[in-house]
Amino acid sequence: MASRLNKILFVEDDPMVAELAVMAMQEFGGLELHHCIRGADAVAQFHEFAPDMLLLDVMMPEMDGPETLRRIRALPNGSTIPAVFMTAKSQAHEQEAYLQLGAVGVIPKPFDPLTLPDKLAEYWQQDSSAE
Amino acid sequence: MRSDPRLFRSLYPHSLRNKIILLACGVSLLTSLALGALLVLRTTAVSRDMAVENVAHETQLVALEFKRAYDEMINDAFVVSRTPPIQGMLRSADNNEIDPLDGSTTDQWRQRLEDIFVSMMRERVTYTQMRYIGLDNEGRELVRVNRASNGWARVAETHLQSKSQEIYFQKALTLSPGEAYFSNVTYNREFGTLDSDLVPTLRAIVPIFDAKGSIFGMVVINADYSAMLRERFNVIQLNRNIIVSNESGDYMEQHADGSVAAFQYSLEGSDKQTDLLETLRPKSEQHASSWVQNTATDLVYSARLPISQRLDDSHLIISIRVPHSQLMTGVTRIRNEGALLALLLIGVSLGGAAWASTRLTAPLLDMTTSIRKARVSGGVPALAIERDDEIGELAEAFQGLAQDLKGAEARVRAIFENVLDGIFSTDEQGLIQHFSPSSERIFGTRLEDISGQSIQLLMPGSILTNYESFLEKDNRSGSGNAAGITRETQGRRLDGSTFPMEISLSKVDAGGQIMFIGIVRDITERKQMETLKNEFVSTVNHELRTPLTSIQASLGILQKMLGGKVGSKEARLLDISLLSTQRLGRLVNDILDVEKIAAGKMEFYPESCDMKALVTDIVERHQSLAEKYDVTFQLKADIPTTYSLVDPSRFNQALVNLLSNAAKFSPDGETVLIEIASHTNDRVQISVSDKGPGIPASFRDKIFQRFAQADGSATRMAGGSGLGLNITKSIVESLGGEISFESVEGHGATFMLSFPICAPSGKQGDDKWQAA
Repeated sequence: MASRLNKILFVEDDPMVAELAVMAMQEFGGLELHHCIRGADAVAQFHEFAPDMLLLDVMMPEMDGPETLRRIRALPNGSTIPAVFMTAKSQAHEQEAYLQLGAVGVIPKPFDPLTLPDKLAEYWQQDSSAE
Repeated sequence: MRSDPRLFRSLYPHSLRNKIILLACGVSLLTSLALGALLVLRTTAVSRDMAVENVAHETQLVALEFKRAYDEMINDAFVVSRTPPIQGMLRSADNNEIDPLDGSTTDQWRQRLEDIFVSMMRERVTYTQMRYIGLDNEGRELVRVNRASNGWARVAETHLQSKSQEIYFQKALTLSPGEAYFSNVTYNREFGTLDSDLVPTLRAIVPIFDAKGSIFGMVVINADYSAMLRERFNVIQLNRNIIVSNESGDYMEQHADGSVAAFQYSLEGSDKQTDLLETLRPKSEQHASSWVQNTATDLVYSARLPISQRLDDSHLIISIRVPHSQLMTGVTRIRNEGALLALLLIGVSLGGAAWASTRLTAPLLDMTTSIRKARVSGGVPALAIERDDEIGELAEAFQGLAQDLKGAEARVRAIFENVLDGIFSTDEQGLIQHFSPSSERIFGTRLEDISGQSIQLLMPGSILTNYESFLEKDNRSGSGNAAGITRETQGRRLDGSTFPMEISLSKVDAGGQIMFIGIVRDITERKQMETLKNEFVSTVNHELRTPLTSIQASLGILQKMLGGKVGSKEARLLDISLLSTQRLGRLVNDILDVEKIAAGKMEFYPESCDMKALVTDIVERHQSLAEKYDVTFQLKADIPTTYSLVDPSRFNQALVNLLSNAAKFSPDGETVLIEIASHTNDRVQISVSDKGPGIPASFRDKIFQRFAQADGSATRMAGGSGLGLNITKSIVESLGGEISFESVEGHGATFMLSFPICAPSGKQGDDKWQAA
């Protein structure tokens, strides 16, 4: 595993939110981003992109975030990939539920673009040290 | 033959009928006993008195009869003493045996006196001798006639005796003219020796005086005492036990059957006879004229009858002895007749009471039968309301009651059958008793098919068999209502399909029997609506946040990118945009919370939390709030570890609202004091105090209302939604806590939360998600 968080596979159905998040992560975190509009795309492109971490929107049409995570986890090399959810459902017990699904963190919407990369890095660090 | 059920019912030991009969019997028995006893007692006393009186009367009569025997003897003696031969003999004796008056010789006078004696003895059969005794020649008998076996014998002059040695002769010498004397009863003596016949003899003696007043001689009549008494008994003809005795103790007894016993001579008496006489003549009664004695078996009435007043106390005692049983014969008869009458009375009472009580209770039995029939048929009983008595009134009242009940029942049944919600009842075991038509519709079954079966058939959740846990669960969510406890569960139709339903359950004590009453409502549609609404709220939430996220992120990035490259006005505009976006985000959150609370959809996950640790953690994690408003959070937590049952996440939300408010309203540089304390044993209190402007008095009762703003501009400037305290109060109260505040206007405000203390449990809040 890389010593530093670098590649993030980002799934978000809203193009504007996606664009801003990508911009924030690239501009302020210097991260390498691969963005997909649909969960199915992410599942399909996971192997090719080989990210360090997943950042998944929860509420999406067709395939939602948790389902996308489940599918990726089912892929070879995908079983241990750390994942962070980004959601408007910010209730504590909802966050708890996402953590139960295997996520390392939850970022509530609206998110702060300036601190987003740091938070992701922090979660990644936690996950690394946990292993 | 048809058997009358009344007959059997009358055999019930406690039936009204039997009670009436018993009462009548008891009353008549008591009456009879009382009357009978009184009658017997009174009759006994009266009869006894009467009987004694009667015996006394008889005794007196008998006594008089015996007295008459004596009187006759005296009379005869006097009669003889006044006859001419007595004086003739006196005159002739003084005149050489020739009467100077008519020339009769002494012998002639003797002859005439003998004739008188003979004629008198012919009349008086008890007389054994009649004599005329002179004083001369040692009391020589002058004339004497004896009764003989073939008649009477004139005793020849040569056989006449001298009697001067006899006691009666000497006693007679002391007599005055007109007086007479009775001798003791002795055996007759002739020539100084006892006569061989041993005749007990009573002698009556009358003295004869000459012209000068000296005693010349005496007339003596001897009577067979025994025969004399016997003759009197025959005259009296009284069938009583009569004993006649004299002062010497001689006596004669007639038995109750009229037979007369032999004369008992005192000188020859046995001890037994002496005893009898002593019994008849007690010492205590020696001078009484009559007395009554009671022996074990008899009543004895005695009367004393004086015979001679002068010479001695010679007298007769007449006793009549009557057995008590004979005395009381009348009483016994009255008693027996009384008893018979009483028995008859009881019998009549019994019969009368039986008849009357049957008649009295018959209408009641008829009523009972009618009511029983009505119970089976379900109608109103047809009772004898036309009767003009108490039973008629009872019948009318009862029928009225039955009609009222039926009317009331019909109204209740109308409600029962026409409400939309299903109503059912079960017994304590959960077996179905009632099942309303709407219940039948809801569960797709009929009462006939499930009556008596377990309610579990329709409610797999086994609510009724687990009533206590049902109750407990509902106390937690706090949705009890007047009808009992309301809860959502799953119902099962008879075809096996399930549906969501709401059930209100009440436990009712219906006359000592526990009964569960359930009201069920098919909430399939409501559930669908709720699902739709939840989805809508969720969608709105998402759809609002998404553009908000974009705007906020854009502004954030823009601000970062343009940092220092734009003028102060432009920078200010960016600030305002960003702050407003953040405020809008909070508003959306708050509105969604309020919506959830209003719909009862806010979910809580209470657990036992260490309040000291929880508060400390929350305050530390929100230092940014303090920094943002340039205040200091000061925590004071001088209490031991204390646990309360709260949802840590929701508690966090509530406390942060208070911290946020306090920070916002505090002047720069001031301190916000957060204190956790436990003033009582059972509650823990968390207070947040600020040094702000305080809460205006006019605003205090509105402070927890939605969109409440004390000072619009200040609130807006501070960026609040006006929903924070409302949400906080709802959360605190939902967690079983209380919220209150104190404020002095111009000197800050203190908000206080308090929660019940609970025991620590193993499960602790998860640090991981608290940190999120």
